[in-house]
Amino acid sequence: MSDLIPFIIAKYNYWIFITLMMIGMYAMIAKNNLVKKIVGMNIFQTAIILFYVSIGAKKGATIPILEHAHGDAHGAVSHTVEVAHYINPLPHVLMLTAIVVSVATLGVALALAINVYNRHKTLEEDEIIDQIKGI
Amino acid sequence: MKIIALAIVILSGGLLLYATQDFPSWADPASPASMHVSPHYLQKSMEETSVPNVVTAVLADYRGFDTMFETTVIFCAGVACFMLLRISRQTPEDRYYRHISTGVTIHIKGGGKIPDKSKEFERIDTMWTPFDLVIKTVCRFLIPFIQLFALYVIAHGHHSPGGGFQGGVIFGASIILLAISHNLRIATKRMREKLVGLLCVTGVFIYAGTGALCLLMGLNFLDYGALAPLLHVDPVEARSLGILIVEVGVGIAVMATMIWIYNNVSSAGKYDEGL
Amino acid sequence: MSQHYPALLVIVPLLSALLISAAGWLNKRLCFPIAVAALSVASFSSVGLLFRVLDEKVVLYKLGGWSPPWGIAYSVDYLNGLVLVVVSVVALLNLIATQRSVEQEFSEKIGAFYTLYILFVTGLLGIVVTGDAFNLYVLLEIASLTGYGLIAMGEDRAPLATLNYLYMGTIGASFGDRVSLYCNRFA
Repeated sequence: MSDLIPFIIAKYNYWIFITLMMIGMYAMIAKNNLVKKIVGMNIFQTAIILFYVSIGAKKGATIPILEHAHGDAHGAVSHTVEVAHYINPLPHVLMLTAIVVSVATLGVALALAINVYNRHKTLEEDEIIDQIKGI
Repeated sequence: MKIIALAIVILSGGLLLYATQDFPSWADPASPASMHVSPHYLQKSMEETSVPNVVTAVLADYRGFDTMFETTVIFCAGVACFMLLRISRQTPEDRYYRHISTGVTIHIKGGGKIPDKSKEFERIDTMWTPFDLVIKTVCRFLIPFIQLFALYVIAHGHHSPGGGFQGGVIFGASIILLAISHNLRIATKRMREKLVGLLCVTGVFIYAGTGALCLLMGLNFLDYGALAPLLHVDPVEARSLGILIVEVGVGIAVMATMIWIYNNVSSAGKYDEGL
Repeated sequence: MSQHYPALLVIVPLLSALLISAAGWLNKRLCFPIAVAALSVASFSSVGLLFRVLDEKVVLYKLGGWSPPWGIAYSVDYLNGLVLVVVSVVALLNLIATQRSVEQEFSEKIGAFYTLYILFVTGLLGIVVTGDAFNLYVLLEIASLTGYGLIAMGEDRAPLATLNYLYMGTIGASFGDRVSLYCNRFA
């Protein structure tokens, strides 16, 4: 039990994001309405993005824009850059891509939901499956 | 069904939580994620690309190929929404008009219409909300400032947080604000559908075209140093300018796609009435 | 130009997909010829690349001029080269063979259909030729999104089935995203 407490306190950010991920996944599987499933998918993707961005944080560091660098002659390095002073830029770069992908997927999913509604006149999944089986 | 879902969720959640034992603690400067590749980016980005914002330098120069395909992903989403939803107008259509002074509504069937510039009749949709002076005036004042801020965010991506994607979304949001506060028809008259589609293509074309230009000048694809003789600067400065050009392309493409997706989804493809 | 085959394989279909989309708005009859030209160039580059790989065992192409851990590199070997030839030639034959039925079914949205088709083939070719894990994720997303658009145009059960495919694709891409990012981080 005594080594469980540092385990939880030092890494509580991972617990929060995994909880969010599981809420999103439960909504995708268990809910009946199509729009609620799409919202669950969005929660799931957002949790993954937050998880990655939290990996790149460093204690007491600032954003990854080099200070006092504006106006420097290009090619000349006038100060050495202390790596621990800036947070890791790599998760931010990769998660920009993931955010763009999540917005695109949300747009296409909503277009598909409108198509389903135009065809079956309902958005509840069990009614749609009954209509398809009845045909 | 809900019990199965709950069981699956608890099982996978438990497995993931068990796996977090091996993860580094939060905000640890010596975590493996920050040790291998990112010190090189932080130290060398100023002297190799002369761009202080390390995120923009990595996004648009070192990994510029990924960003080009990102812009293509956004373009694909716009085209897919268009293809799924858009229904061409079947003429003749019914129109609804409202006499402004008395409030009487007229329903004209079969293609007849009252001219647009008429002072007594205004065209309305099937869901009509009364004219709200506060919302319309405030939005009309705000929209140019929002667009100016979007251009600032795109242009200052080198020195402050920002860049093409962020500025493009803000710009698209300004046109969507026009569509929400006024009328989808007014917003469509400002930015027609053909213009939006062609702008989307132009944005991605600027990005891919810059890369192809570098290919034609002799170096590898998307190597901005090849633009140096064209722009009369030295290769490191040419990288910074190349990043700016592609960010503008990304901004245009993202703006056009946001407007396109909103127009298609909110009117379910018919482009007659919005939200 | 023959040293640029790995890039041409992906770039020429991408640029021509943009041209097809513009042609869909302006002049609808140019869509099919541009599509055939793009896939012919891609097939020709893939065959040329296969011959190059048979001479020198591995072809490495650095995009943007940066070497592998800091930039993206395409690496082609025997298996890659063969699969590239198969994918591009089959896509070209399929495009030519289905021209008449496509024109019958999508007469007014034909620009959008050919755009999605060529972008789908671009995504598949890119997945095969790339040597970078995160690039693989992005190209997988291109192939998935265009796949959703193409599949949803089917008959009665198509939109609901596409929604289910969308959920699976999203969960799979998110977890695959995690794996690929850890590989990227540690290498």
